[in-house]
Amino acid sequence: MSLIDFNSLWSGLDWIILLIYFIVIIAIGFVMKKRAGKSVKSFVVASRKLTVPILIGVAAAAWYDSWTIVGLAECGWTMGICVLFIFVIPEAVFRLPLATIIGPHVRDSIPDWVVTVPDLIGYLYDRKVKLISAITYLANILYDSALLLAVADVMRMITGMNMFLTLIITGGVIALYTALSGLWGLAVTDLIQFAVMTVSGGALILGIIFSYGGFDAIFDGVREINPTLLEPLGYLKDMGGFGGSMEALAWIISACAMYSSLQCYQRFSSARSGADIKAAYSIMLVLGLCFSSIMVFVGMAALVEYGEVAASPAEGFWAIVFSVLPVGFRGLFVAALCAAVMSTVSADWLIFSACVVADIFRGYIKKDLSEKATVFGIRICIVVMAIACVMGTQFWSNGIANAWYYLGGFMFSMFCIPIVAGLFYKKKTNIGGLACVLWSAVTYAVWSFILECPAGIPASVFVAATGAVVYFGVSRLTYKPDVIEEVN
Amino acid sequence: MDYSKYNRWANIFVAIVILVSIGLALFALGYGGDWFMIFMALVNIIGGPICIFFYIREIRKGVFAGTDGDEEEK
Repeated sequence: MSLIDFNSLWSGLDWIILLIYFIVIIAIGFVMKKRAGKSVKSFVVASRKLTVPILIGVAAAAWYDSWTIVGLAECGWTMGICVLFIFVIPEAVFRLPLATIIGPHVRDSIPDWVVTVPDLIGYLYDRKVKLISAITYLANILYDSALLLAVADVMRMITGMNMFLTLIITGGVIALYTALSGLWGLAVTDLIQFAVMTVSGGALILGIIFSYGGFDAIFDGVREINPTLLEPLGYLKDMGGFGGSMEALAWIISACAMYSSLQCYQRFSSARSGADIKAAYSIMLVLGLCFSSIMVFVGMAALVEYGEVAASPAEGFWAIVFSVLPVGFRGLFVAALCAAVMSTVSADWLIFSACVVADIFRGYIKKDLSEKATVFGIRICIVVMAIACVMGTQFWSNGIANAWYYLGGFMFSMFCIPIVAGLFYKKKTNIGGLACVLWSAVTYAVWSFILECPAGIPASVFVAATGAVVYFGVSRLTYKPDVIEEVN
Repeated sequence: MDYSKYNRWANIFVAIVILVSIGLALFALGYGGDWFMIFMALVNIIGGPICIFFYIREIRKGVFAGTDGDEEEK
């Protein structure tokens, strides 16, 4: 039971800022409707002409979302500085090759008709692998449910409305905006949303430093509550699986999940050139690393100040946000969360819908579907995704801290090897790709839900390791130099 | 178009990512003071608006205007 009165911390000015934000976003959706409706390529990858400053916005919105805000704060509260060492820092460092090598390679070397990740997998392998990938990617809608829950939860706190109602409202706004404008709308709004996020995050941490007398006081408070939170691997002490090393590996794997993210490759495809990607993503990584770590420390500060009165880490986090930031800035911060959710969730719905309609329906069922009908189908599908997403929030009723750990780990173990090895491994074969994707999908389900992670080895670790063995083993066995050369 | 300046910028920012990662690890372990968090806060507060500035400059150049690639294909 919460002892924090959020209504008293929320003012009329905060409401005004939040409402202006929503009105501007929806207006942009209407303005971009005509441009986005021209073709699938225009709708999904903004006609491949985004330059560095715009790429920074769309890239940051894909890589840093509401989980980065609320989820990492929850991790700071429950895991302490350990999350910096097993997730935040590995995430930044391991994303560098993606930003500087793989992204430019995808943009400059892959043909223009490759619009979605299943397209990419279809290009690297064949239609069977593409179909399985398109279907499996839909599981990621559960991650969007976690993001949606984050914003619906704060709406519930400040309005006192029923949670289900706030879910419907936020889901509806995102669906409307995405169905209207596609990636063109995102390209216009993402940078504004990114700037709101970074400025609010910076203001928040400065507020904490000046309100609570610096971080020494916060570290002392954390030490009094639970000293292991200040140990680099303290959180892993009580974990099974070889003294917590498997758990650490699972977090590091989830930190690398962007290698198999739908959004990531879609954003690469929307760039003007590979050089634009390299510059934009490396700049964005600096900002993102600072932002992510700030959120971890905010979570730790929330534990010290509200650990005994908040009903959950998320509530404690919002309590410190609302008590540290001045009136008006609170509205801006909630707008930043909405921004983060809207950009990530809307891009996901957009790409999932493109997968369903363009890759599965047009690719396998009705091959003569016109461009206009495909775009209309994508819009209908976005609404269906919104409904599924609202229903999926039930999975995260205990908090969203582990959302990226589970879904990111799943995506990495499923697709990282087929995508990255497919781009660079010269002896890849279609059968190797198919065997890897099928093995990973089945093994993940069996290891997680039937065997319940034997010996404390997380499913993402087991599946990533065995999937790599299957991929390279089968590719090696089925590789025929003459056939490959003929195809090339 | 000459993209060499983009590569130069990318290399600089890659180095900054590595340095900030090291600084962050040291700060978490108790080395350094609030100045590191203030630095990170300022990076965020200044970085976002700088991006907006360049973004507006791009819009003025007309990145969202003109003919789409797909129209040319038709």
